[in-house]
Amino acid sequence: MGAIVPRKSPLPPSQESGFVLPLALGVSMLLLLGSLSLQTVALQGHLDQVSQASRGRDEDALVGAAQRLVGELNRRHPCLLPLPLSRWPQDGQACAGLPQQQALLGVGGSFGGRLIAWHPDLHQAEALIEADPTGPGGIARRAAFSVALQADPPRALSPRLLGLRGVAP
Amino acid sequence: MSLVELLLATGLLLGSSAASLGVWSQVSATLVKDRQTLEQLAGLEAEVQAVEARLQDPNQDPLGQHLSCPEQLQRLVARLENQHPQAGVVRTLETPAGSELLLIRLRSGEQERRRLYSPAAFGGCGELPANLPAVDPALAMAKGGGDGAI
Repeated sequence: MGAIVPRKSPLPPSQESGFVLPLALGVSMLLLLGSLSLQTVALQGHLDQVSQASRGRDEDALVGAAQRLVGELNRRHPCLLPLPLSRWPQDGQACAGLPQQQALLGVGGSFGGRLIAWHPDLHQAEALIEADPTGPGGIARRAAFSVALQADPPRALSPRLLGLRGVAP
Repeated sequence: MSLVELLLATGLLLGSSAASLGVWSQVSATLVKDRQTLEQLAGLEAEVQAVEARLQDPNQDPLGQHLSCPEQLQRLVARLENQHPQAGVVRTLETPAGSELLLIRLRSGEQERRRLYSPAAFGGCGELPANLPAVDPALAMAKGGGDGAI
């Protein structure tokens, strides 16, 4: 009858008992990291969508302000149309006094805005318009518009949005 | 391998799998909603462009100086009423009292766009002001230009 010889493990006791827990920990970390990166991608897409919606609203406000401004110029102060903005105070007095000019530079109301620049050419003008900031802490966005000009009688036709031009400094 | 180690590893895996599944389902719901919103925004943008093109269409009833502003406003409204909006977009035309402006509300799902148009911006309307001085555009430009603030 032989003596019972205890079977020897090929690994030291510490290694044999410790491989399941690190493995589970590694798999768990991989799962969580994968989920987090997926959530980051989804968040980025969500921010893009919010930004697109906000851009649309900004464009709407700016187009509304440009329509009101050009309409007002056509109806009441067409002599200002061929004049650059810097010459309105002197040469534009004939058809629009200072109060009317100030009103054009800061049209109020829910679709209000400000005229920042007006560069007329023979057949068209380029206008830079700033929309009133919307809501508390809102940003005043600016956009450039191209406006076709007619000489006789002086008239502006349908402002066309050229693009957003940043925010007010 | 002890029983305690096995239980701990199982708990860890179950917990992380549940958390991961929760995040995945939340992300997939967000992605579906964002996709719907993007489709709505794209539909609204297409409708905005269609409205703009329709209002500027030279083949429609002419707009201009010979019409009064209310008449011109009616022609703008008629141009749009004869055109169906894009699928999924609800278009509402409003003429705020006393303003002689056309407010177009476009709605698709939870998204909304609003465009304001002035009939006078389509080449003017009504009579010219009596005190209109003659300004030669070429002369005005020759005197120099630029922007400025008052």
